[in-house]
Amino acid sequence: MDRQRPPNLLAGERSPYLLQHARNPVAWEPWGDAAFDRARREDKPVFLSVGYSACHWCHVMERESFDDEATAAYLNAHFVSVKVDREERPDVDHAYQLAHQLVAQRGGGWPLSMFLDADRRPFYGGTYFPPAPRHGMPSFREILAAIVEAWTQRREDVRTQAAELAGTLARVATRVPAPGEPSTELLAAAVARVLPRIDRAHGGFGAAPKFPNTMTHDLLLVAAVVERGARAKDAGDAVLLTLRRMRAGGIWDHLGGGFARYSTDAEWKVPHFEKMLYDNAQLLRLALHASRLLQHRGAPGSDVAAMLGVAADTAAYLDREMRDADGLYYSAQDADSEGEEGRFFVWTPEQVVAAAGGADAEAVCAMFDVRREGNFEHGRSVLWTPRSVETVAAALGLDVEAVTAAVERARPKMLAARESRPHPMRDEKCLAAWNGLALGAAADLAATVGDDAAVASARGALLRWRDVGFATGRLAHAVKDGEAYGRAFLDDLGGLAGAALDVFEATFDGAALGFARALLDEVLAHFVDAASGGLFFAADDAEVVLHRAMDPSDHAYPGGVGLATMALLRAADLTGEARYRTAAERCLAASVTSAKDHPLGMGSVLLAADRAARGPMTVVVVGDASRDDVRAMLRSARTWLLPHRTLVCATDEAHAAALGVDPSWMQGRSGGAGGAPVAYVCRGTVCQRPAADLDGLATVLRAALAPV
Amino acid sequence: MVARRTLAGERISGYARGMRNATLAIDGMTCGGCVMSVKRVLERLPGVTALQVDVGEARLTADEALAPEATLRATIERAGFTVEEIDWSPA
Repeated sequence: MDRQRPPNLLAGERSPYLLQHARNPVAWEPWGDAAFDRARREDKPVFLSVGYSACHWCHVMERESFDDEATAAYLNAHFVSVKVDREERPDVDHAYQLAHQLVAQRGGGWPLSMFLDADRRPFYGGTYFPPAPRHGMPSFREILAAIVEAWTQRREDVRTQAAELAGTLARVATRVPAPGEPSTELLAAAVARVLPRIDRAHGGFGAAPKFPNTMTHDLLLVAAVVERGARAKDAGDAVLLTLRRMRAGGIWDHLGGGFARYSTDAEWKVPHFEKMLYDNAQLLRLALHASRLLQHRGAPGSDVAAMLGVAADTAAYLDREMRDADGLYYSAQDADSEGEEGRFFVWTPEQVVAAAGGADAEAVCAMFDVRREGNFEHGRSVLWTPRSVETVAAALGLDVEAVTAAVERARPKMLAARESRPHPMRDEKCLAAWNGLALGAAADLAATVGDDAAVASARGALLRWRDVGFATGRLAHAVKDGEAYGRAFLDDLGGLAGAALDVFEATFDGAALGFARALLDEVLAHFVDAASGGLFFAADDAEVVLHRAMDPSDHAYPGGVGLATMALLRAADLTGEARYRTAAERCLAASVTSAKDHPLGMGSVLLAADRAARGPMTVVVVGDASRDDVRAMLRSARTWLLPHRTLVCATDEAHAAALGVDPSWMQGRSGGAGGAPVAYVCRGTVCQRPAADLDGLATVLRAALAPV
Repeated sequence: MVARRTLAGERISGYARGMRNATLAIDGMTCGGCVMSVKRVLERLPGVTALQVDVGEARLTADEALAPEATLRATIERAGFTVEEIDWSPA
C-alpha cells in the first residue's frame, strides 16, 4: 500500500482489516446505504470483497489486484467496490457465503468476491482470483470484464440470475428443520459417527489441511466420562492423541505458546501461521479438560502437569500478546511479516546459534528439527518436536537431562531474539463472542490452578465488557481502543454469557451472574423466533442482510445457537429460572435434527442438547468461599472433568439468594462444624452422600462418573 | 362459559375446569439437588403454576385438564422419586 496515496472511504473505519485497505487505489467504500445508493445512481454493479486481517490469501489478492493501479482504475470506472471485515460483519459474511455456495456449488472461504446489484442481491461470485489465469482459474481482470459485459449487454440475464438466486436463498436461509428432541442418544450417535474419522496416527480429523476442530473434541471429552467401556476410552484417547500431536507439531508455538490456525499437512508440522483468539481460547479449555480426564484416569502426575501446561502456556501467550490495557482480548495475529508467510516464526541454524549460543545450539536444532536445508521454505525451519527427547539424546550421545536443560536454557533466549524481529500485524479489535471464549476459559484455568491474580484479571475483563460493551443496556459486537461499537450477534451474547457464568463459578461474585442474566435476557427479548423457538443470528432490530438467518452450525468457533443454548441451560440450573430452560429447549428442539445429520459441524449444539437431556452435574459447597478450607474444596472439585458442571458455593439459603442463585440448592444442606466446608454432589436426579473432606469428595465424584 | 389464559398464555374458552391446589408428599428427596430436579420436571408441565418445592414436598396449582394427578405422578416418578400422597384442595 502506498502511504502517499490519498485515502479512500475506509480511512474512517475502525476495523484494522478495513484500514489496511484505506490506501488502496481501489475506491473502496464500507458496507452501507451510501455505497448501494451510489450503485443505483450510477447504474453500476457492486463488487463486494469480504476478508479479515489474518487471512493470507486476502493479502495476496490485495497485493496482486487491489494495489494494482490498472485493476483499480477498471474497478473504479465500472463498479462500486465495497470492502467488509467478516469479523466485524459476520451477518454479511454468512449471507454472501451462502450465496457463493449456491453459485459455485462448493464451499466458500476468504477472500470472498461477490457481485451484487443495487438491491444487494448477488448474481455472481467466487473467492480468490489470481492476477493472471492460473490452474484453469480465470484472472480477476477477466472476471471483471465478463461482469461488465453481462451488466451492459445482457442486463436481463443478470436480473434473472439475481432473482433466481434470491428465491433460492430465501428458501435455504429461512428453512425451518423438522423439530426433534434432545436426548442422550444424540451424543452416543455423534461419537459413533465421528470416532472412525479420527486420524489414528496423528490425531485430528481427516488429512491435510488439518484444522483443530475443537468443538468435536469437546463432544468426545464428554463422551469419555459419560459413556462406558471401550467407547469412552476411545473417545478420550482420541482427544489426548490430538492434543499431544498438536503440541509436538509446528502448529504449536514452541517459544511463545499458543496455536496457529491450522496445519497444511496431516502431521501438524507446517502451519498456516496466523494465530486466532478463538482457536487459542478453545484449545486452552480443551487442554484443561484433557488434564482433568488424565487425572480421572489416574495418569501419572507428570502427564497431568504436561497437559495442564499446554493450557497454561496458551493462557500465558494470550496474556502476554493478546490483551489490551483493560484485559480485553485482541482478535488475531497475522501469518505474514516482512512480506513472507511465517517469517516471524521460522529459524535457520545460524539464527539458533546467535540466539541460544553455540554450546546449546546442536541439541536445540536436533530437538526442534532446525536443519541446514530447512524443513520449510528458503532454508528456514518451522520449530516442531517430531522426535522424543530420549531419541534426540541418544542420537547426539547426550543425557536426556542435558538435552532438556539446553532446550530450557535456549527457549527464553530464542523468544527474546524473536521479539526483536518485525512483528506480524495484530488485529486489535476486541470481539464479544471471542472474548467470551477466552476469558471464560482463562477464568476456569485460573480457578483450577489457584491463580488468584488471573481470576481477578478475568473478572476485571468481564466487568469491563459490562461497563463499556454493555453501557447502553444492549451488548456491543466489538470494543476497540476502549470504545464499544456495532450491535451484538447471537454468538456475542451466548459467548459472553458463558464467560460470565465461568467467572461466577470461579469467584461466586453475584455481579458476574447478574451480567449473565442481563445478556441472556437480551437473547430472549430480541433473538427468539416465536414460531419455531429457534434463535436468529441477528437481533430483531438489526439490519436484515438479505434474510434474517438462523444458523445452528459451528464454523471455526462455536455457533451462536450452541453458545446461547448452553449459556441458557447453565443459567437455568444456577438461578432456577424456568424461562431460560424453556427457551433453550425450544431452540434445541428446532436444531437437533440437523445436528444429528451433521455431527462434525454442530458440536456446540450437540453439547448443549446433551446437557438439556442429561441435566447438570452439580457440586454445591456449603461454606464461605474466602476461607482456605472452602477454597481447597472448590479447587479439588475443579480438577475433575464433570460433564455439564454447575458449581455453587454459598453459606446458606439467604446467601445463595443474595448471589442470584436459587436458594433451593441449599435446602437440607449444611456446612461442617466451625464453618468447615461440606460438598454435595448430584448428577441428574442422583445425589451422592455429603463429603466433608477432599478424600470424601474424590470418592463421591468418582462414584458419580463413569468408571474408567 | 368462561375465558381464561393457560400457562402458555393462549386464550382458551370452555367450561370452567378445576384449578386446584395440590400438596405432594415425595419420597426419595434428600437435598437441594433433588429439589432442583423436581422443580425442573414440574415447571415444564403445562397447567402447573405457583410451584414451590422443598425437600420431601411440592406445592402447586394444577389445571386439572392439563395436569391431572396421573401426569403429576408419572412426571415425578420418571425423575426418580416416588409420590407418596397427593392432597387436593380448592384453589
